[in-house]
Amino acid sequence: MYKKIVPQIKLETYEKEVFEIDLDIAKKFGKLVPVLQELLNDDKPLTIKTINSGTLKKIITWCTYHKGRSPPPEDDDNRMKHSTEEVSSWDDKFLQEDGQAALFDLISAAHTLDIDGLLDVACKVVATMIKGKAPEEIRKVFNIKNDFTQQEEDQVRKENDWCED
Amino acid sequence: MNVSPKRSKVENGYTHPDIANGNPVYFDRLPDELLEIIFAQLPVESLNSICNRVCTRFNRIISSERFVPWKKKYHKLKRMLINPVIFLNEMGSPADYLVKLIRYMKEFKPITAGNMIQCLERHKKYNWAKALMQERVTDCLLNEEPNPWCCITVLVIISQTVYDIQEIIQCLLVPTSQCTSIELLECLYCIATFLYAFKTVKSDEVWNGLHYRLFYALYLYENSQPVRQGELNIENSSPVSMGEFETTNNNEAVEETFARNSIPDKSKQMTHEQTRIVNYDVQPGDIIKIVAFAGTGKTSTLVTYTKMRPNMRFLMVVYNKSVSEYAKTQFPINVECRTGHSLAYGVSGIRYKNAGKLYDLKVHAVTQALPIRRGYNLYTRAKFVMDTVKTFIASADPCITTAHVPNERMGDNGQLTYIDSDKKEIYAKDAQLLWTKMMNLNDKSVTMSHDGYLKVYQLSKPTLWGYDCILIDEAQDMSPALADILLNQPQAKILVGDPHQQIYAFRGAVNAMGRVSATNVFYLTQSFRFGPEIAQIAMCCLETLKKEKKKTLVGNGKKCEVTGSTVGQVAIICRTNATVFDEAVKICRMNDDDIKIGFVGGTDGFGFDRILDIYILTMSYQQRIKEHRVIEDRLISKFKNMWEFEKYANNTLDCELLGKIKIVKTYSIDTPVYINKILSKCVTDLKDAAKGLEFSTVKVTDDYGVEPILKRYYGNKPQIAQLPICPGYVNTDEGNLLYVAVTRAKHALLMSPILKIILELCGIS
Repeated sequence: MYKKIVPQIKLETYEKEVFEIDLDIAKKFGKLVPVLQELLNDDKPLTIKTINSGTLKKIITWCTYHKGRSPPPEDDDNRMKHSTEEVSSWDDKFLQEDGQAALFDLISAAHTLDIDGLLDVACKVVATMIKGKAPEEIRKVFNIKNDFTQQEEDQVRKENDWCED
Repeated sequence: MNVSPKRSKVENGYTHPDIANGNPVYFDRLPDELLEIIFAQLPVESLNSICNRVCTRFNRIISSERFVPWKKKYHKLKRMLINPVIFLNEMGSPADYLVKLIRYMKEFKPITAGNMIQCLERHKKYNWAKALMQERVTDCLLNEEPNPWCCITVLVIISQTVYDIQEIIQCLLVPTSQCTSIELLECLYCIATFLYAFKTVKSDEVWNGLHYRLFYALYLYENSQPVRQGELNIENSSPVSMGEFETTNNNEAVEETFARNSIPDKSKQMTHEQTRIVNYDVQPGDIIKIVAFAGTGKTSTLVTYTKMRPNMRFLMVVYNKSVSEYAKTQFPINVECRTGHSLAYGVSGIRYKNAGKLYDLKVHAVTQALPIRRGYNLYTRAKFVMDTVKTFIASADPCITTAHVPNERMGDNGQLTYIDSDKKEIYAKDAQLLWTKMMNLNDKSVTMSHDGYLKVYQLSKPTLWGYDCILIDEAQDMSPALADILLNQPQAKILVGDPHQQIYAFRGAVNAMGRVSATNVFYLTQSFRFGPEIAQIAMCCLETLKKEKKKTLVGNGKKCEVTGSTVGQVAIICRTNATVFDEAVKICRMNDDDIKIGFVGGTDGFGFDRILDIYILTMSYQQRIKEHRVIEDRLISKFKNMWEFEKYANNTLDCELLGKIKIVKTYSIDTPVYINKILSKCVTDLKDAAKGLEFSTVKVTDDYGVEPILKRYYGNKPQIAQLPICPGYVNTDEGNLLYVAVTRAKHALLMSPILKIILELCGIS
């Protein structure tokens, strides 16, 4: 019996922790695709300073989960079910379980590594957190300071009257 | 989600100032382009009236011209803030529109995502789309491969259902796809903008349906996310008091299969429209309007609203007692559910009750109370005087004037004629006399109606104490008298209703929704009751009959039957009682013992007794003796024969009696036979249907008087021109009634011929 060798690449995070990632997972990292071949033959890991270990772990989990997943079944009854739930419940739970900081780290990292699929679903979760809230509540949830002057605020209100009804 | 500052983070050697004090602003770490992706997922209403008010950075990004230009153009066009002509310049004539649109999309955006076509290949209509492009627009292919933007456009054009369009989104937004959501949404909004512009030129073409499907799919996309917010129940909507009944057949197996295949209960999620409402804090004196289309969860929205504010005291005013009883089981204890009448009952109604004169007013009693006047038929005059008092009672006016007298009567020649001013004076004077007698507790000759003591209460200018906010349900059907009471209270008021569902105009409702100027208006446009197929038919009714342009009704994602099959119980919703009778007779003639009939509102409410009385009126004296038949109704018994009675009903335009006369004339000597047959087939237990709110399958009959409306707007269309010329004037209420009937359906709709014509007018076949 011999072990099947899975080609791997090495990535080093901000904490200088080195991760070995399967090639088929790494292929999802759009930014890395052009240099993958080089990295394969390289013993030295590629350092990505802007990503921390926790985030990279999550990215690997996400990519692994979605790797083997075939496109949703397309019979009439199920089609609607899948499309109305853009972020599947798995994604939903996965993206929210570690709090806001982790979610935003994930968005930054997905952007850095150019993983469009992850970026889209993660952004959608943030959008959901915004949806239906009043401006003041949005500020509260995301700790944003209202930096409008009264005059500016009135101006914004006026400019967007068309959308009000 | 909690803001957890536990992981102090350093990036690129730069320490974020907020981290030091433990208050990180995570948004500050994302570049503008990522905020764009986040914002692009939101509906335009959230963007342009909420998000842009959060901070200057949000506003700068959202208002920037590079951010979702097509989404903005689409919504501006829909609100008529952009002239559609600018989109039509390069599009040639309507015959070329679609081909030119496909070509236009070639230049939509440079293609950056390499695998778009690979993704689209999974769409089950891809091969069809590609073949079509190879045949018609070869210039949109490069090395045999379709341009992806053109291909999306073709897929939209050949779509037959909302699901076809959802499939495009689904194909392109799988994790492996390189096409970003923002690109795809913009592409679809661009197509939607053109389709809408085409619609403004010609509304009865294929793009009407295409636009609707595309809008629907985009709406579901933008609202797909569950928003966790308290508990929500499936909504309870307006009761329907039309002549309607339904048949029960043994179709439970079908019902079961349907339940298994349908999507898990989504009722616990809120749409962005609902969330906006529940998050709005009313201020004293505010008047908030919530325009809620049929089945859009208005009750659940209000339940959530009140649950979220346990320290506020709410008064919820609903339309009738059964809704009030139901509402009591739904709302938290800080809400008092009342009808307008129950508010007045404790103050004024009880006095008439104690005086023993709280009964509905009868024409016969009025004839006894009026002074004799020469030259007037007593019954006809009594009816006009009564109608005058009724109009006054419904109004907010302080006293009776000639303005409350009906304007028209049916002349003996069968033509509508105006009532001249001298007669109006007399009727008004008599009405004043009648009203005085009604109000007089000691005068037992005439009774006081329920609406009457509400009027007495309104005239006393009451103040409602002990509430922080008044919720008004079905505000479109509120009488001006009740509106006067409620709107003059100092508290904040929330009016909920749908102007298109106004069905009580004949009772003097004036659509308070339209008259009041509100501090804020909210819309609920997504119905939880039905899927895209029924929603589209309902929207066609609104577009053709009501000229609704601004807001688009959408439904849920469940597939509905609209091509003839039924699901579960069938409800036949008729405009008139005569048709109800016809339909019941049809079922009796089927001779199928398994089919049972039930009447919403009960058999008593339908008035079989009176129909029989009218039938007896057609019999000769000898016949009556022979068959032991006696007329029980006091009014009918006063007439010598059918001819006189019909003349009375005609003169006074009494629709209820005219409908019953029609039944008797149609079935003549078979009338009593059929009444017995129908009653023997009747069941009293209608389960959920008894509430009259929604039914599994709805069959709409063809007796809705919408032809005059269609003739006015579409008189030059061949399918309308050939409709028989129908008497009667344009009455938009008829359009409302048809829309209400259609929107009672949950799973299946059996269309009437006129509904099919309405769909044709919208370019849907």
